[in-house]
Formats: sequence, C-alpha cells, structure tokens
Amino acid sequence: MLFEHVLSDLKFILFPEREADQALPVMDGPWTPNRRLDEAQPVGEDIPGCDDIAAGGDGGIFVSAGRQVLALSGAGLAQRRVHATFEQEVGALAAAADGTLYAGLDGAGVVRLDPQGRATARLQAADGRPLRCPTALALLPDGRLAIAEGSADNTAQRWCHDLMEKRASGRLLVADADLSGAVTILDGLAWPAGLLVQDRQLWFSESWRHRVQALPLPLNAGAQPQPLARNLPGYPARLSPDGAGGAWLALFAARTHLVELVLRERKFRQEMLAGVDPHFWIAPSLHATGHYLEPLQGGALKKLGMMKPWAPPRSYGLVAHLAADGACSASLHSRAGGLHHGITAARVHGGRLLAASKGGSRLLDLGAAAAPEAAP
Amino acid sequence: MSSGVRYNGALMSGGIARRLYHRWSLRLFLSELLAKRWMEPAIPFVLMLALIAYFGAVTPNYATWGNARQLGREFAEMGFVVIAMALVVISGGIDLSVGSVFAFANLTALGLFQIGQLPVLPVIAGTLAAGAAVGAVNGVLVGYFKTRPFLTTLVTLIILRAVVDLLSQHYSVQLAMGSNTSALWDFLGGGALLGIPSNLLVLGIVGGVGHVLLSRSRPGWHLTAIGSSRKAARHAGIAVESTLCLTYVASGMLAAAGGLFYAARLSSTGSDTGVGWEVNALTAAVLGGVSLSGGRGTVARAVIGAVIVFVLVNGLVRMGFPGALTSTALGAVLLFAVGVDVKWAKNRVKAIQKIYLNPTVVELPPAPSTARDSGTPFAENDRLRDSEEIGLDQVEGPEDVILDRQDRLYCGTRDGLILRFSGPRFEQREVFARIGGRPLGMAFDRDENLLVCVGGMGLYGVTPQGKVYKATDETNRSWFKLNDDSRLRLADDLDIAPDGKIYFSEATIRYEMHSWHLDGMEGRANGRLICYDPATRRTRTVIKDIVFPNGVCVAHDGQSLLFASTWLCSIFRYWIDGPKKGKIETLIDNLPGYTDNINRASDGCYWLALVGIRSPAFDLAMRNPGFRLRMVKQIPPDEWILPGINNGCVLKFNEKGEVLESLWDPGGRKHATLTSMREHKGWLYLGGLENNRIGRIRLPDADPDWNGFDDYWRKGKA
Repeated sequence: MLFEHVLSDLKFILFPEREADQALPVMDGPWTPNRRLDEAQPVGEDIPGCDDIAAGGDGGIFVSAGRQVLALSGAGLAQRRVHATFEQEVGALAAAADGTLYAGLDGAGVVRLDPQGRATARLQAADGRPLRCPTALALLPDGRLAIAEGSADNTAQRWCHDLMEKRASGRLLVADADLSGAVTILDGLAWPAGLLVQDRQLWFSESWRHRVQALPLPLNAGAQPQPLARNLPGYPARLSPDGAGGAWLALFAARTHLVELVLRERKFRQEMLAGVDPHFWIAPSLHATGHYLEPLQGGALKKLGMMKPWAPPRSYGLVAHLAADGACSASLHSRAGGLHHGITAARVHGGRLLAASKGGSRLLDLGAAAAPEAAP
Repeated sequence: MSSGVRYNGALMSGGIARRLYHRWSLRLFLSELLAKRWMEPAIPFVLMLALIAYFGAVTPNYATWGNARQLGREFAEMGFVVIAMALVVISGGIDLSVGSVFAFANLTALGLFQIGQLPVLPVIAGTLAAGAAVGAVNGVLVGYFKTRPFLTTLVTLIILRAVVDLLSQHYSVQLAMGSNTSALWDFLGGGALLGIPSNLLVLGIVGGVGHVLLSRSRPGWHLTAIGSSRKAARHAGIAVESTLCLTYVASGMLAAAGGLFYAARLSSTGSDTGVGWEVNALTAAVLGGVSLSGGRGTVARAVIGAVIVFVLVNGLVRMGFPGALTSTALGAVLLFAVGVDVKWAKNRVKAIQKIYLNPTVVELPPAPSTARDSGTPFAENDRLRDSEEIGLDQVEGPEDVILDRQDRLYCGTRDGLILRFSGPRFEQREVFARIGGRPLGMAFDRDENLLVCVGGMGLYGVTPQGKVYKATDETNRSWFKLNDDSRLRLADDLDIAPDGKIYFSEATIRYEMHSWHLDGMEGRANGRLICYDPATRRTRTVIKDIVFPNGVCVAHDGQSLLFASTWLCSIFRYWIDGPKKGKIETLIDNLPGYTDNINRASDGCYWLALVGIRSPAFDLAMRNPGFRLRMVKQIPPDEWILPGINNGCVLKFNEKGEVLESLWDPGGRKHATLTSMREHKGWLYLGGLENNRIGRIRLPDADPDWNGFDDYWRKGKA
C-alpha cells in the first residue's frame, strides 16, 4: 500500500492512546535490571533444550529437554534419569497428583503418561483441526486438562517465524483427563504460552500481545478474558503459582525497539522472511551468539574492548513475579552479554525458585522463593 | 571480479526514474536550504512580495515608475529609523527614542540651515552630531551605568519630544521665514541619481555597509554576541560597555540621518513629526526577523520588515482606511509576527533535523561466504586471536597506527593525542603531540614529518620534534552546492605520492566525526578525494561524490592511488600518473565486509582492514531507504541496526585486485572495529577505532627488514 506509512502516522496522531498500549515500556520500578539470573547456580550438569518444569511425584521434578522428559530427584536434585523419550521435541508439562504426567509434543499434540512413563493416551486434533503446537498445559480443579496451542500455522520450534509472520492463530482448549472430548474455549490468540490455575481463575499469557489475562472458572466457551498484566517489556511464556495468589512468569526474550519497528514494517519484514537466514533475522532469540552475521544494534557496539550490559538485547533472561492482581512486583534479569537467557519456565519447588534457561541450556536455582514484598 | 559498481554508488538496476529518484532528493535540497542562515527571513520576504503584489493589483496607479519613486523617497526616511531600532534590538536592548531623535534632527537641520544660514555640509555634520549626542546619552546610561534600555530610552523620548515642541514653537516664525537655498539641499530633498531618489540611494549604501559590518566584521559579531548573552560576551573578553554605548550612538546617528532627509524634503516642523515611529520601527524590525530577545538579526531583515510595514500602512491609507484602523491592523501584524518569530526560531533547527537525513538505496550483490569451510579466501579463521597486546588500556581508539625508522609506534586517540610507544616491547608510552580533534589516518613524508588526517579539523602535520602544524583545512568550494563544502569536516586517511603531493579522503561532508554512522544510514555519495600539494600549499578536490571514501594508499609503482569506499564494500583505483592518468577504475567490489584503511605489504601486495562484516539484515536495510528513514525517526540511536563492526578482519590483495588471504578475530574479542594495520619488519600492527589496545602478529613469511618508510622514500637508494 502506497500510503501505509502515512496512515500509520495519522493513526499515531489521532489515536495516541491506542499506540501508547503498544509503546515499548521502560524497564524501571519493579522491572529494574539486576544480575540475579546471572548469579544463579545451575542445578547439576547442563540440560540442552530444557523447556518446562513440573512437580514430580516423589519430591523431585520433571524437566522437558529435547526429545526427553527427565526426572530430577534427591538432595539438590542431583539424581537424574530419563523418564520418557519421544520422536518429537517435548515442551509443555503438567503433572497430576497421582503421578500421571501430561506432555506436549511439538507437531504431535499432547500425550498422557502413566507413572512409569508409558504413553496411555494421545490428543492430536481438536474441533476438526490438528493440534500441533501445544505450548502450555494445566490441570483444572475438576480434573480436566487445559491446553494452550501457540499457533495453528507453526510448530513450537518455529516460534520466531510465528512472531515475525504476525500470526494470531493460537487456541485455548480444554480436554477430559483421558484426553477425550477436547473443545476450544478461545481462538485467535497470539501465541498463548503459559497457563496457571488460580483460586477461581485460569491465567494465561499471550506472548505476541505481551499480556497476561484471566478467564473465570469453571471454563465455558464464550467467557470473556479479563486483563491482568499488559504491555509487558518481554514476551511472556509459562506461569506458575507463588503460593500466595500471585505468579511467577517466565519471559523468554525482551522486546526491543528494533524488533517492534520491523514488526510495523510490512515490506521489509516480508523481504527479510523471504531472503534472510532465520538465524540472522532482526528478531528476538533465546540465545544470541554474538556472531558477526547477526544484526548489530548501536548500543551493542564494543567500545574499548567491551560490550555494555545495557546494550539492546537480542536475547535476554527475565523472570517476573506478578502479584494477585497481575501487577509486577519484582523481576530477575540476565542482561546483554549474560549467559542465562531465554527463560521458558520458572517454578517454585521445595521452597526454592527454579528456572529453565533454554538459551543457556541450564536449570537454574534462584534461591529461596519467598514472594517478594517490593522491588529489590 | 568487477560487476560495475561505481564509486558514487549510482544504481545500476531499475529504470531511469528510479535511479534519478534515489540520486537526487528534494528533501535533501530542502533540508540544506533551510539550514542556510539567509533562509531565516524567508517568511517575511515572501510576505513582503505578496503585499507589494496585492496593493499593486488593487490600488490604481500603484505599480507605476513615478509612484515607486515617490514611495521610495518616503520610505527611505523610515528605513533609517528602522535600521536604528534594529541595531539596538540586536544588541539586546531597545531604543524608544528613535522617533524623537528623528524629530529633533529634523528641527536641528532646519534650524542650522535656515536660522544659522550654514552651508549644507556643516548642516549635515551638525545634525548627525546632534543625533549622536542623544545616542551617547542613552549609550552611556545603558552601557556604563547599566540602566534598563526600555526606561532609559523612554525618558529620552519624553524629554526630547518636549524639547522639540518647545523649540519648534519658539522658532516657528523664523523657520517659516527662512529663505536659504542650496542645490545640494534640494538634491537631498528631491534629487535623484539614475532615477533613484537620493535618500533611497544613501539608505542603500548605508544599509549595505551596515549589513556587511554587522554580519561579517568583528564589531558586528561583538554586537550580536552581546545581544545573545551579555554575560557570555563579557566572559569571552568583549568590551561590552563601549560596544553598547557605540551601538546607541550609531542608532542616534541613523535616526538623525532620517530626520535630515525629512527636513530637506519637507522643510516643515509639524508637531507630529516622528510621533509613534518607534512603534512602527519596532514592528518592522520584528516582522523582518530581528529577534526581540536580541542576538539574532541583520540589516537586510530590518529593511524587509520596514518595507512590509511601510507598504501596509501606505496601502491601507490609500484604500481609505481611517487612521485608527490602520494602527489596529499594524498592532495585529506585530502580534502575529512576534508569535511566528518565537515558534519559528524555536523549531527551525528541529525541522531541519527531521529532514536532514535522506537515506538512499545501496544495492550490493549477495556477499561471498565467510564460513570456515567455504574455501574462499574470506574463510573465517582465528589468526588474529593470538595477537600480542601493545598499550592495553593505555590508548583509546587508535584508528591508525604507523611506525618510524627507529621502530617507534605512533597512534592517534579519541582524545586528540598522538601517542608514541617505544622500547623493545613498546612498553614506554609518551604523548608525542596534542592536536585535538579526532586523529585518524597517518603517513610519514620524505622529511619524516608525520602527516595526520584529523576528523573535525583537517590535515595536520607533526615534525619529528613533535611540533604540530596545519597543512590544510579547506579545499575549493564546489559550485551548485548549498552546503558550504570548502571546510574539511571528516578528513579520514591519506597517503603521499612520490612527487610529495598528499592525497587524502574526506569521508563525508554532511556529518561530523561523532555522527559518522549517520552517513552510513544515509548511504549517499557524500565524500571526496582531495589533494594537497605542500610545494604550492594549494588544496583541490580531485574526485567528488564518493560513497564514504576511507583508506587511501599509493600503489607500489607510484602511478595510481587505491581508495576504499566503505558502504560500497569496494576498492577503486585512481591513476595519478602514466598513460591512464585521471581515470578511475573499480579494483575490487562486493567484498564481504566494510572496507577501511589500505596499506602496502612487503611482498608487493596490499593489506586491507575490514572494519565490519556485512550482515544480511543490514544489507537488506541498505536496500530499503524508507525503512532506514523511519528507523532513524522512530527509535533511539542505540537501537538502530548498524553494520556488523563487532569483528576484526584483515585481507591481503594483490595488484590485480585478487584477494589472497584473510586474518580474522571473529566477533572481535580482541580487535572489534579493526580499522587499520601496518606491516613493519615482519610484524603486522593492528589498530581499531573503538579499541583499548594495539595488537601485533608475526608474519612468518614476510621480509623481516621491510618497513614502510624505506619502501616509500628510500627505494633504490640503499
């Protein structure tokens, strides 16, 4: 369109409040950067591809990593064994009290595992549409399973394509405990990637719209979501309870001005998607390598032999604590140049906050997980 | 390996319309036009023309020669008064007494001529002296006693008006009876030269001289400086008191000149002579663009404003408007002018900033692979990773490095120093010279003077004793360019031909050193290659319109010059001697990175620094000028995508333009933004624009005795 940019300028002038909702927020107040993720101790050896964390039956945890679900247990979670292995990458996990584990398989739906790790049921389509991109799972109080499907167009591995293609084809589903009778609750979501059952609400995050919303329980189709947190400074992913009505939210990358600009620039973005290797796109990443073919931003220029930590981050580590009303009360960071980037899940286990750094291939122990009172 | 890229970046693809569109930009023209100082009164100038056209159209017999002469004669008297007012306003004050001085001068002139029966020349001198005396009273009070100009001149206005009234009543009969005549007097009042009324002619001369004095002479600058800030002017050593005093004296004399011509023309001492002229004069000055807050304005602007007010008042009167209505209209115009004056002065610079940057298309073919297993000479390796460090954390930004015959190492730093490292391991650091600016490329001439391109200053030299001298800081100004491009803004790298002529590149004429990356955002052919001949001390531009010319190197045979164009990722050859003299050829194009300095290698080849590697996303941005423009406008500079200069890479190429090998520090762990390298006695020394060290690596196959100075100046003499 010839006047595309003129129109967007006009919109900006005429409806400033609409744009204000999109304007990139500054990381200050409870979002003030710190080094708490960088200072965290890794739990044992590196876990390449670690993605989600779920409570295990015997005081341990399950961690999805690559094509495996690992079970970590014992003092300091030092014992590690493979709980299940699949043909596809495993992402979302949800554990029931009886030792049943639900796992999301990239491109292949959701699988139900018995306590021995054997598949007992599968869900590969719902409402006449294949379910290929499960991103988050949560067990509802009535025993049913809530499923977030990131996108109908892309698999979970291709999340970056989904963002840069500006898709909004994700769904929120609910299925019975045996994975039968799946129905769609909400459609047209922009990459829902986290689910959390609170007292009488189901919280869900929507990555590409940078927000967390809540649906009233019990779920029924046609319910209107209520906003909890909006215009977050990063792309929100999985949610987990803090035990006091609030939540821990993992944000797997920070938003940057440049990416937001590229998302506004239709022609440039399409040319980039068509002609540039996805590794070198102007796009967020779970793990920036600093390779010279990755796009360089002005603030990331090395001066006198060093890059400043406040450089615009291609990848970032960020975990936020949301109070019961959805407001952020504290955050943990790993800034540009740090190691522990691309946090896809954070969960309290045994009084300690654990975080899966997919970008850093590590499970992190962030110490005692008392819900913070105020900004650090 | 050439694909036809040109040094000015002219597009090869697309129709002629596309090529023209991206080469010439209306925005560019407009932004440079608005940046000119003489564009400040653009609005008043257009208003003046519009008013003249309007009244010319609606008033019968307005646009005739006779009418114009009559109007011109009436206008001239007011013109003097407006200039008198403008001078004082520019100095930061106000002179309300101009109208009274005008009337006083009228009376004085008539008195001296009719009652005193004096010849005309003494009358002129006496009248001007009377004006000067009144001005001196104002000036002494305002300048030395620091009274408020408004109140001071208001008092002068009242007292002088009373004096004029008393005297004109007292002498009215004698004045009316006066019978003195003189041809010169009549010429002043009603004569003309070449059809131009005498008083208008004098106004033109006075205005022209005044304009030049005010805008282009030391006293004029002092006056403007005082108007901008009296305190700052005092700190700068300007004699504030005497300058101010003289300003009021000049103002008084100018107003008196107006009164003199008025006397000669009308020979009348009406009681309303000059009443309210101070308001008209003030309106005119402000309308013309003389700022009421002082420090901004010229004589020409005051005259433009005077014409507007004069034409408006005169036109309204002729159209039969009652006097009160005319005054009201004038007041409204003054209010409007003051409003526009404030807004325009505040936002002009912002408006220019918004449209100054004009990105264009830079189309490069896909870059050759740099992958480790690509098999190209560009294949990434780690050969710079083990470089020895020199001066770690003791230098800030050694853009270029060079060694002298005693094996001492020189580099420029971002704080404007030339450092020298000596000793077997270069552990001894000393400040060799303090130039200032941003020292960039360096070369030794035959007499071992170190020539340095200094960003922001020009081409400078340092003698072996460390004495700094200026070689050149300007070149010939090019025709048909609005921006004055005679001053050197960003001299970048140089080399010296066998005949002693110094060739150097100026990377861009549109941006300063601190914003060199903006030139990359623009991607235009803003740079040039310049030659300075120390024998004649003359500087001239050799090649205009080059896309960011950077490294310069005289070829081994001394017949041609290699220069790099950074954003085009290319090397060009310019013949300075031999049969092809004057021709420009493409030597290498489509390199995988951004070309920086070029220097000779001992084996007859050349070293080339790649300051950064082309990233596919930035290549795409360079093809999309609209994207870059909106990026620059919408997001902060720290967030802009830049060329991938967090990397270190050096290439070697031969005389035919074939790249032979590359040396890498991938990701720039030690040598990010590597801008230069210099071979010396079997070692390669590395400099970087933003680095905190100099590095060196051993070149096992290189001639261990070869050094640059001997290669340039002792060849065949040893």
